[in-house]
Amino acid sequence: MSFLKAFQYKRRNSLIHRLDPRSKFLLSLVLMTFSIVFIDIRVLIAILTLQLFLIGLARALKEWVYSLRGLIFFIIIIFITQLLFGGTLFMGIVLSIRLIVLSSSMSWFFLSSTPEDIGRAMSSARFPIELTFSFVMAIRFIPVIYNEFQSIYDAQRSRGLELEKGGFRTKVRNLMPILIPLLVGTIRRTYEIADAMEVRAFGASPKRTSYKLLKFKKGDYFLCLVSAILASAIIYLKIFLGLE
Amino acid sequence: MVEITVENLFFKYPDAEKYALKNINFTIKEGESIAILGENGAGKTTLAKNLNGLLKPTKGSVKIDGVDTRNLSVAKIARKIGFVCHNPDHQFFAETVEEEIKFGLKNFGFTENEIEKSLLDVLKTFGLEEYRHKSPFQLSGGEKKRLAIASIIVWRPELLILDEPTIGMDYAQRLNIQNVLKNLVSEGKSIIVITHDVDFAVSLCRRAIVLSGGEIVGDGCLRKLLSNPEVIEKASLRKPFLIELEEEIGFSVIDEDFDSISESLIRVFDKCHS
Amino acid sequence: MNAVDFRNVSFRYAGSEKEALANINLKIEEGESVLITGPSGCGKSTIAKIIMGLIPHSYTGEFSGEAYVFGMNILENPVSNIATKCGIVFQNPENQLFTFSVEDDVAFGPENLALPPEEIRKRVDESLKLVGIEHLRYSSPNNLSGGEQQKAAIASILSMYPSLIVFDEPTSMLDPSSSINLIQSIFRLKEELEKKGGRLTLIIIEHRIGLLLDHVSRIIVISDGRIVLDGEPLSVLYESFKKKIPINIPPILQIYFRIKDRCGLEKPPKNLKELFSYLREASSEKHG
Ligand SMILES: Nc1ncnc2c1ncn2[C@@H]1O[C@H](COP(=O)(O)OP(=O)(O)OP(=O)(O)O)[C@@H](O)[C@H]1O
Ligand SMILES: Nc1ncnc2c1ncn2[C@@H]1O[C@H](COP(=O)(O)OP(=O)(O)OP(=O)(O)O)[C@@H](O)[C@H]1O
Ligand SMILES: [Mg+2]
Ligand SMILES: [Mg+2]
Repeated sequence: MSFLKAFQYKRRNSLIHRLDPRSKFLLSLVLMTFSIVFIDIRVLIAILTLQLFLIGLARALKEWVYSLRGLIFFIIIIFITQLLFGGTLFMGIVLSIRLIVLSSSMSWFFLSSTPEDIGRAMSSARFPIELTFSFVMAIRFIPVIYNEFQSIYDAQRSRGLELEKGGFRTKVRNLMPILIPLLVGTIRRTYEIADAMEVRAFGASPKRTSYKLLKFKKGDYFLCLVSAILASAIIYLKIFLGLE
Repeated sequence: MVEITVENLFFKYPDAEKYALKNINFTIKEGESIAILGENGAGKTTLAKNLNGLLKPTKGSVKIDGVDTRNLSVAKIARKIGFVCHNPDHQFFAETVEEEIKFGLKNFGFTENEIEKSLLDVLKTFGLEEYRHKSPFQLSGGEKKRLAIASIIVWRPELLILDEPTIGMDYAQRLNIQNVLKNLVSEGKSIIVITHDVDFAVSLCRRAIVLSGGEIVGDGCLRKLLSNPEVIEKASLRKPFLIELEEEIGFSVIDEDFDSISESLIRVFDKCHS
Repeated sequence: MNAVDFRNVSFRYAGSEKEALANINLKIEEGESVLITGPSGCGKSTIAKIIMGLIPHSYTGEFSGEAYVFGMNILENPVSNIATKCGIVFQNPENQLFTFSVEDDVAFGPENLALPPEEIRKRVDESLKLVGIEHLRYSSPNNLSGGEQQKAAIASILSMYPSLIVFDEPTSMLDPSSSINLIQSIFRLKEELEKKGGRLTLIIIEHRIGLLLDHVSRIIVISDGRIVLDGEPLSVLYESFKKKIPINIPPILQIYFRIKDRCGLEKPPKNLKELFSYLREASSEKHG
C-alpha cells in the first residue's frame, strides 16, 4: 500500500510545490511521452536523471523510493514475460526502466499538486465540470484508500491479528481480514464523501468559483520553455535521428 | 498483570515539523485507574498509540513488562493491552455485530464455548442484544461506540485503554460503562481513560496524567490535580462538579449519586439551624 | 416562516424492523434555537438527516409523511439545493472532511455557492478564527487530532453562512474550554446577525445539556423514535427527571429537582454557590 504514497499530494514548502499545476502537467506529459516513444536506454536514463532531479527539488525522494517497491511486482512480470517469450535480459532491464520513467513522470506531478489545484487548472482550461470533478475525485481517493487501509490495519492488529510474523503464506492468508473491509470501507467512504460534498451544496450551482486563482509565475514560464525544448528533442531524436 | 515503563519518550509524526510528545516519563502498575487529560491536540491519542505499539517512539522507549515495544508485535501486545480508538468506524469490518465481537477472541485462540459465553456476556452488558445480527455500520453513533468497547473488553485484557469512551452516550449508558470499568479495576485489571469528561474521570480514576502541548504538566492524584487552578488553566480543563461540591460543603463526596448527595445537603442545612 | 416543518414523518431504515422515527410532527420557526436530546439510538441523527434531505435521497428505507425546510419539500429538492440554506455538521467529523488542507475544506462550500474569491477568502479567515484553528489552516485533515477535526468540520459549514445549522453533537470531542468557547461564539454570531436584521436558526443535538441550557429557548426530548417532550427548557428537564428519561440533566439541576419541594426553593440555581445561598435563605426562613 505504501506504493500509493508516491502519488499522493504531500504539503511541502518546495520550489516545485509552488509551481502552477498547468506548467507541471505539461512537463509531465512531455516526460511521459519520452517513455512511451523511446526504448533507447540512453534516452531513458537521461530522462530518469532529469526526473530524479525534479523529485529531489520537490523533496520527495523518499516517496519515490516507496513507489519503486510497488513497481517490483510489475517488473517481475516484465522479466517473466521476457523470458517466456524469448526476450533478452537486457530488454527486461530496458522495459523496467521505461516503466519506472513512466510512473515517475506521474508521481512527480501528483506529489506536488493538490487535487483542488488540479481541478482548478482543469476548469481554467475549460474542461467540462463533470470530467474535472470525476478526475479530482479519482485522485482524492488515493489517500482515502490509503487512510482506510491504515486504520483497518491498526484496528485489526489491535485485536490480535498477527501480521508482523509468520511465513509468506500465513501473511497472505492473514491479509484477508484487511482486504475485504478495505474494499467495503472504500465503497462506504465513497458514499460518505458524496454526502459530505452535497451537504456543502456541491452541484447546486452550475458554476463554481475558486478562491485561489492560479497564476503563471516566472518559474512556470521557465518550465514551459523546458517542456518545449524537450518536445522538440523528441521530434528531433525520433524523426531526424530515427532513434528507437 | 502488566507493567508499562515509559522512558524519555519523544514522538514525531513522519509529516510533522514538531514533536507531538516530548520527554514523557511514567510507569503504570497493575490495578491502576488512570485518566489522561489535556486540551485538543495535547497528544493524548498519540500517547495511547505509543503504549500499545501502534506507534513506536521516535526517541526514548516504551517497555511492556520490561520488553521494548519495538520488539513486540501489536497483536502480541493486544492480548494484554486492549485499545479502543475514538472513532469506532475505524475498527468495524464484519457483517454483523456478533462477528465483530468474536474477531478478537478467535485471533487469540479462545475455544468455541468460551467465545459463545463471552459474546452473550458483553452483548448483555452493553445493551446490544437486539443488534446482534445487524451490521455494525447501521448503528447509531452511541451504539457504535458501545460495540467498539464491547469488542475489545470481551477478551478481558490486563490493561484497557479507552479513547473518549463517553462520546455519544446518554446518562444511563455513561453510568453503565462507568460501572463496567470500576468492576474491571476491582478485579485487579488496569484502565486508562482518555477523556474530556472530567466528571466521568473523577468518579472513576484515582490517578491523572495531564498533558499539554505534548508534555506532561501533571501526574498524580486526580482529585488533587483537578483542584489545582494552574493545571486546569494550562490544559484547558474544568473543575469537576464533585470537587466543586466538596469544596463548598466541606466533606468528601465519593460518587456522583445525586440521591445521596441531595440527602446529605438537606441534612447539612437542617443541622445548621437545629 | 417555518424553518422546519415535519408533518407525520416516519422513517424505517432498510433492513431494520423497527421504525427509527414514528409520526413526528415538528415545527421550528425561523430564528429559534432548539436543543434536541434523548437516549442513544432514539432517532436524533435521523431527524438531522431528514432535514438535509439525505433521507430519503441517500439512505434507503421507508419514508412517509411530508417534510419542509424553508418551504422546500425535501422530496422534491436535491440535497445540494437544501444545502444552499441549511448546513449540517455530522456526528463523526472525520468522515466529512475530504480535501488535503483545512483551508480547502472550509472553502469548498462557498466555492460551490459560486461566490467571488475575495468573499470566500474573507469567510474562510472568519470561520477558522471563530473555531480557533487558524494555525491549522494548511494542515491536512487526516493529520489532525479528533477535536481539531471536529473544529474544522464546523468551520467548513459556518463558511457557507447557512440560515439554518444542524449540529449533531458538535462538542463531543472538544476540551471543556473549547466547548464553551464554541457554543458562545455560535450564539454571539447569531446575535450579531440579528442585530443586522438577519436570522439564524440553530438546531443542536447534544447529550451535554448543561452546556446549552443558558442559550436555547426550547428543548425537544426524543425517545424511541417519538417526541416525548417539547417546550421551555426547565420544565422539559423537570418532566424528564420525573419520568426518569435517561438524559444528561446537569448535576446542579439533578440536585435542585430532588430538593426543591422539600427545601422550598423557587428559582433554579445557576451554579453551586447560588444553590448554597438559596439553601441558606430557605432554611433560615423555615427555622427563623
Ligand atoms: N497523523 C498525524 N500526522 C501528523 N500530525 C498529527 C497526526 N495525528 C495527530 N497529529 C498532531 O499531533 C498532535 C497531537 O495529536 P493527538 O491526536 O495525540 O491529540 P489529542 O490530545 O488526542 O487531541 P484530541 O483531544 O483533539 O483528540 C496534534 O497537534 C495533531 O495535529
Ligand atoms: N444506516 C442505518 N441503517 C439501519 N438502521 C440504522 C441506520 N442508522 C441508524 N439506524 C438505527 O436507527 C435508530 C436511530 O438512529 P439514530 O442514528 O437516529 O440515533 P441517535 O438518536 O442519533 O443516537 P446516538 O445518540 O447514539 O447518535 C437506531 O436504533 C439505529 O440502530
Ligand atoms: Mg484524541
Ligand atoms: Mg446520532
